[in-house]
Formats: sequence, structure tokens, C-alpha cells
Amino acid sequence: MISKKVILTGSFGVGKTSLFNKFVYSKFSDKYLTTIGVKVNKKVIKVGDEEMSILLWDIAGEVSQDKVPVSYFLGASGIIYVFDLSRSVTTKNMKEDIEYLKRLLPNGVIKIVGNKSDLVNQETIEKVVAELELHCDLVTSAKTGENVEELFHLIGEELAA
Amino acid sequence: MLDNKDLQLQQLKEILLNGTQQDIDDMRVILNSEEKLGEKIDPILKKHVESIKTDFDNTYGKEVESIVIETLESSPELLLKVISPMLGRLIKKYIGIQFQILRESIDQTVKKATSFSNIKSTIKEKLFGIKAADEIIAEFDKAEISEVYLIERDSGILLGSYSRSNTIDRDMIGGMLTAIKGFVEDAINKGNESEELEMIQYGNHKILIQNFYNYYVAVVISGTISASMRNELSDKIIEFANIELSAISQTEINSKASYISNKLEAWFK
Repeated sequence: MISKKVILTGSFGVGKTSLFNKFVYSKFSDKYLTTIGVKVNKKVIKVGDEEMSILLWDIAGEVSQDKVPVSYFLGASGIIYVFDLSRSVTTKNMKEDIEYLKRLLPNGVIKIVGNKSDLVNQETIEKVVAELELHCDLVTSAKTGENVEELFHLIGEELAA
Repeated sequence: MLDNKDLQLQQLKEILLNGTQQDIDDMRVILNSEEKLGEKIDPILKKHVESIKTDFDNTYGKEVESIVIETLESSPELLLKVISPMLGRLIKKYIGIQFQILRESIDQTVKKATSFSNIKSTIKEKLFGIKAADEIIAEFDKAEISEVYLIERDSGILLGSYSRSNTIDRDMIGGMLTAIKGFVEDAINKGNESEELEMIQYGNHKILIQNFYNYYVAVVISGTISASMRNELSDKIIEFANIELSAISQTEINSKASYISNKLEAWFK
């Protein structure tokens, strides 16, 4: 079984930990997030006929990614960059953040995800996504579970390719 | 003026090279125009650069490695320049450990000479023939390796493990340990990559960390461990890496978890 490190990052309050907890049964306490700024968990997913172990690093939100210890990103094969569909301020540094992450991990698979779709209507979602400078890969809701499993399978399939 | 023979030859050339001449003229236009030449070559170059980026290790890894080895072998000064900072740290660390061993040895000797247990042991030795040294060794035996992890350095992916007991998911331990290690090194070193976390202590347990270039070994020990024992363990880990891991390539190591786990058990059980 192959293992891949995937980072869950983005501004604070965008729902990364909720996505993380929705996807995996969290065995470590959330206090790690406030003490060392990261919490690691694992989920085994099926990609085609193969199993893949995703080691998911939930990184505490920062206003910009260059505030996060660089070592947290190293060795990652994939990055899920989360923003809040109901708070446009969480997309403010997105372009710079993604450029920074691409420099750190030139071969990493990056997915941009708009979370909290349950808080806004379809019209707002379309408007927010259209106004982004970068392509939004998926719209999710950690609360309802919308597209959460799909997100991790999407990234798993790209990592296996 | 061309004679008849030359004229015939000219006509024959025109007939034979008619299509080819057009191709040559087209190529000349492309070669003389930077923009048109770019249109043709840029996608090929881009594709080539991308393939180098994604598959550099497989395509050129061995060549680069042999060039580096050749360069270092032919230039001892360069080799010295590369390894001297590392050597300095190793010597400093070695002297530190040796001082700690010496201090422990002096402490033990003083303690042994003056302690009630020593007097008791001496009496026991005289009466029943049980040597004090055996008792001291028995004391040291209390330190026990309970878990060993081989973890990929940056990603925290577990490459193999051995544990005496069932513990929580070992993959997550590898990840969290790497996160803690990264956090401490980033927070304290402030960009100085030369120093790394080597031990975590909690209660009666210690996690000793032996760092290598692409991975690190974390050994969980319960009980008291002396500096000399720590030194021996460190040597054993290095020996393990040299014998069991040096033959496994970096691309293979991620898929050999059960092999590595068996080897860890054989070495550290």
C-alpha cells in the first residue's frame, strides 16, 4: 500500500478541521492544533484496485502561508487549500499563497476548495467562484458532508496517476 | 550562356527537387524568423523541461551521483569543505557524550564507594559470592526498547516499525512525531538546519532520535538509560542503517514497510 502526505491548509476559520474530522475519525485531540499548529491523521482510501494511505496534516490557519513552519509542507504530495465561501476575506491571499506553495512543492497536486456551501445559496457560490483569480476545484460543506469524500478521492486519484 | 548539357542538367534538377526546394525555402523562412522558430521549438523544449523536472532522479540521478562522487574524490579540499561543518558538530557531540559518560562513571564510583548498598553488596559478595557488578548490570537492564520507528524525514511517512505492544496507529505516530520535530527545529533553530531534535523525554520514557539524510529512526525507551548505553544504541542504529537500508534505493524504500519492520524487530527486539 502506498502512502502519501496531504496538507490541509488555508486561512483561519475556513473549516479545515471540520473537513478533516468529517473525513477521518480524529484520534488526536484538537489541542495539538493550538500548541504546535498541526494535527496528523490517516485515512485509507481505495483508488482503482489499489489502497492508498493518506496521511493528512491539518495545519492551523494563518493569514498567509509563509507564516506556517516550512517543515510542515516538506515531503507533501498534495495540498488542499481551503477558503470560506461565506467570507471573501479568506480568498484575499489565495494567489500569493498558491504561488508560494507551488514554489515549495513544484510537483505537488494542489486543489482549491470552497467550503461552507451550506451557509450560502447557489447564486452566491457561483459569484464567489467566478470572481476568484484561480480555478476552484470543488465546493464542499463539512457540515452536510457535501463533496467531502469526493474531494479526498479526487486528490487520491491524481496522486496515484 | 548554358550549353545544352548544362540546360538538361538544370531541367533534371528542377524536376527532381521541385517539392524539396519548396520545403527548403519554407525551412529557411522558419530558421530566419525568431518568432516562427520559437513556435516550433518552444513546445518541444517545454515538454523536455517538464520531463526533466518530473523525472530528473530516474533519468539523471545516477549520472549526477557519479559526477558528485568523482568531483569529491578528485578534490579532497572540496570534500573537506563540504563535510567539515558536519565533522565539527560530530566531534562536538562526541566530546559531549564522552564527558557525560565520564561524569556518570565518576558519580557511580563515588556513589558505589560510599553507599550503604555497596557495603551490603561487599558483605553479600564475601558471604554468598554474588558480585556487586552483577547487581549494577541488573540495574541497567531496566532500560528497555519498547518501540522503534523508521520515518521518512520530510513527509513523516512511516517506512517501518517495531513495537512490543499494541499502540495507536503507528502511521499517525510517525506523522505527529515528524510534526513535533519540525516544529521544534523551526522554532528554535530559526533557519539553522544543522541542529536537529535528538531526544524527547516524558516521565520515565525517552524517544531517542537518530537523524539520517532521507529518514530518521525514533527509539522509544522506558527506564533509565545511561550516556554509554545511549552511545551504544546510536552505534547500533547506524550499523542497522548501513547494513539493512543502504542497499534500498530512495524510490523503493516507501514500499518495503514489512521488510523493514521485520529487520527492525530482528535488530531491536
